[in-house]
Amino acid sequence: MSQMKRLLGLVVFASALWCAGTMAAFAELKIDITRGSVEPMPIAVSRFVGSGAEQATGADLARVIASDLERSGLFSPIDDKAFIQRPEAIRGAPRFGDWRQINAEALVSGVVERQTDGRIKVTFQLWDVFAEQQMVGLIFRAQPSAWRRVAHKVADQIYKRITGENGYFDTRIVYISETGPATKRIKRLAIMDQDGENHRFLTNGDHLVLTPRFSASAQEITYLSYFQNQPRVYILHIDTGQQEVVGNFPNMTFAPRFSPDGNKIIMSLSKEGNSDVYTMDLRTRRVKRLTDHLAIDTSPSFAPDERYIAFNSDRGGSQQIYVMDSDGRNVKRISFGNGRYATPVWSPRGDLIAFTKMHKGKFYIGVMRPDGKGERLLASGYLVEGPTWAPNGRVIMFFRQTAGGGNDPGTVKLYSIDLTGYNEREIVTPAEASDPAWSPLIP
Amino acid sequence: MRFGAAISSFLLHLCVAALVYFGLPSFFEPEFDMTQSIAVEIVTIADISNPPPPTPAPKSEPLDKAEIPPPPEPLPEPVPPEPEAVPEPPPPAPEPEPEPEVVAPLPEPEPEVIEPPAPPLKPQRLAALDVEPPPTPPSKPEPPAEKQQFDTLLKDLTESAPKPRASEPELTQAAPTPSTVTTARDEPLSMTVSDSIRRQVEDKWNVPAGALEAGDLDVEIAISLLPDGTVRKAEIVDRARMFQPGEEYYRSMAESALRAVLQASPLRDLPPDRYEDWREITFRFRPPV
Repeated sequence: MSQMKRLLGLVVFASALWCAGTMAAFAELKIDITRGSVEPMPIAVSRFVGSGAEQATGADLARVIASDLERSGLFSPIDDKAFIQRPEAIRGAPRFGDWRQINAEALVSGVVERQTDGRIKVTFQLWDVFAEQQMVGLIFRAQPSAWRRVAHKVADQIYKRITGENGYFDTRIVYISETGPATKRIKRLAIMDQDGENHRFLTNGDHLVLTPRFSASAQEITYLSYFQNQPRVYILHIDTGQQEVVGNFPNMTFAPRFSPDGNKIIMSLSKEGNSDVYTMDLRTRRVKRLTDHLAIDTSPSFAPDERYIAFNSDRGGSQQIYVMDSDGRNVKRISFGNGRYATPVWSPRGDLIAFTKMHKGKFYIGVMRPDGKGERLLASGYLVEGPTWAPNGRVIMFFRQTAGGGNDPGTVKLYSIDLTGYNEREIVTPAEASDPAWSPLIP
Repeated sequence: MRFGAAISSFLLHLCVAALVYFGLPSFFEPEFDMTQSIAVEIVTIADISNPPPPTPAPKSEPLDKAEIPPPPEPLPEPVPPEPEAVPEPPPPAPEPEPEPEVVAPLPEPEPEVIEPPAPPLKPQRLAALDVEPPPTPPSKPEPPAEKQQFDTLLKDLTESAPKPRASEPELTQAAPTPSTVTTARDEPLSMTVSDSIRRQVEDKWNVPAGALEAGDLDVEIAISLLPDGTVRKAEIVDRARMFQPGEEYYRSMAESALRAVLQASPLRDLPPDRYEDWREITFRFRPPV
């Protein structure tokens, strides 16, 4: 018996030895990489190859794609004067060494052709220069006049493929264009592409307009108009120009916003100096009151899943952000920092709420999680207001007014900033601008 | 007389005693100071041997790049269109294809202005050009890891202390992690060597900003090296995960990690006599916690 035991012990010992031996033989050097940088990725956007009239289009496409990518702050397009391989020579097979030599990590190449039906066919390919393989390749067909949208869609694809996030370049912005002196300010609804192109006015400035917001389809805008000196919430159909008032309330309605599914409008309704949050179903026209409090409840915003609503209220003594269920129950205060908080806007991704904060005479644009934790302030100024999210939930647009003084009334302009807080850009508009709203991706 | 002597003796003794009591301690004070506790920081060897964080250097000098020889064994990716290639993600991918069949006309806000209605954009997948390999069957699920925090990377105006701008972004100056290094031999490869390899790869790694708040994103890259330090082969270990729906962040991370390794090629300062020790390396890329 004891011999058996000893034998067993020997076997165990031997196999343990053998195991250790093989493990050692297979073991290899393992190294943890825990540091890196966050720098814009060097990317080469080669001119899209086209012949005849399409030659210019090809160059335009590359230019718009590169500038979209550059504005995102995540890419740094390389000057095409440095390119070694000519666009015509790429033809589906880049010489990757040439592109590595100019430090490109990714390469965009493309071809634009005119089809017999008069449309253009844009073929693009995104290449990983170091892995030496194609990352994505697509064809778009469109009327020649729509080449800009094609460029934005290509840029969206590149952004998405490389960052893992959805793009936001094929989007539009509606905002309030402001002209004239402070005493006779003319405010008009205006719309433009996300890069400032295709700008046009939607209202003529006869009535004061405020707080435009897009519907989920990007085809309608809800906003506040002082038509006939009565502040009311309206809906404007962008393609037809048709306007309608939202519900015929005897009192002032304001701070409208579409629900994510586009079927409801959520807004504030003011009665005898008090305001509460209401929704109106656009199909049944049924109105539902969600808050009933002596305090001022306003600026409601749905979570993307429509289960919760964020709004601001001064029920606790000062203006703060609250979250409630979509039926108005379970009201919880979420902002507890110093200062006052206003205009909560739920991210389309659902993970954050953007807000305006006032503290010690200064305004901030910030974000916090829906439970109120993780507050971060991204932008500040004499007056910053009106945060609105890009559809991918990574970039926020807002407006900033400078203090002015003396004869200088100050100026008001649009800006965008990404969630890292580092990439702030002015959005150039023909006149002064406030109250931007970012559209969802255009279908 | 005797009494006087007694008194002076007493006084003298008193003086001596007083001197001892009040005077001597001051001689010893410095020594007491010496015995005060000294702060000792216990660090791992790897920490010490880590080269100091680099001053933000230009991403890479062109010379270096020019020297990169083409990998002797090109990735088995046929560059010309591969007819039978399959669309990258499996069909149930949650993403709608870039575009529904036909795009609604661009909204026309000013009806009175006559403009051609916006044309439908009809993108289609370039099946023939897509050289992405078909998705392999789902791989083992990764164990859920603790949520990574990237707060060091994000700007917050609440903090008065200026944080490094994105242009000089050393991710982990705050929290250097000791390297995990194991070797096959009894005498491990010197820490300096593996630290140097680590540094060379870290210098080239551009963390995808999109992945900043995503959770479990560890990526392993297995490489084999030629004796001159050139990366002969580099593979994403859990490649299958890249093509699963909802793993776009992982794919971005994996691809950025692969790029970092390839960009670092050829690795420098490797001891030739220990080739067997560094011929095969597995890098584990994990965002700083």
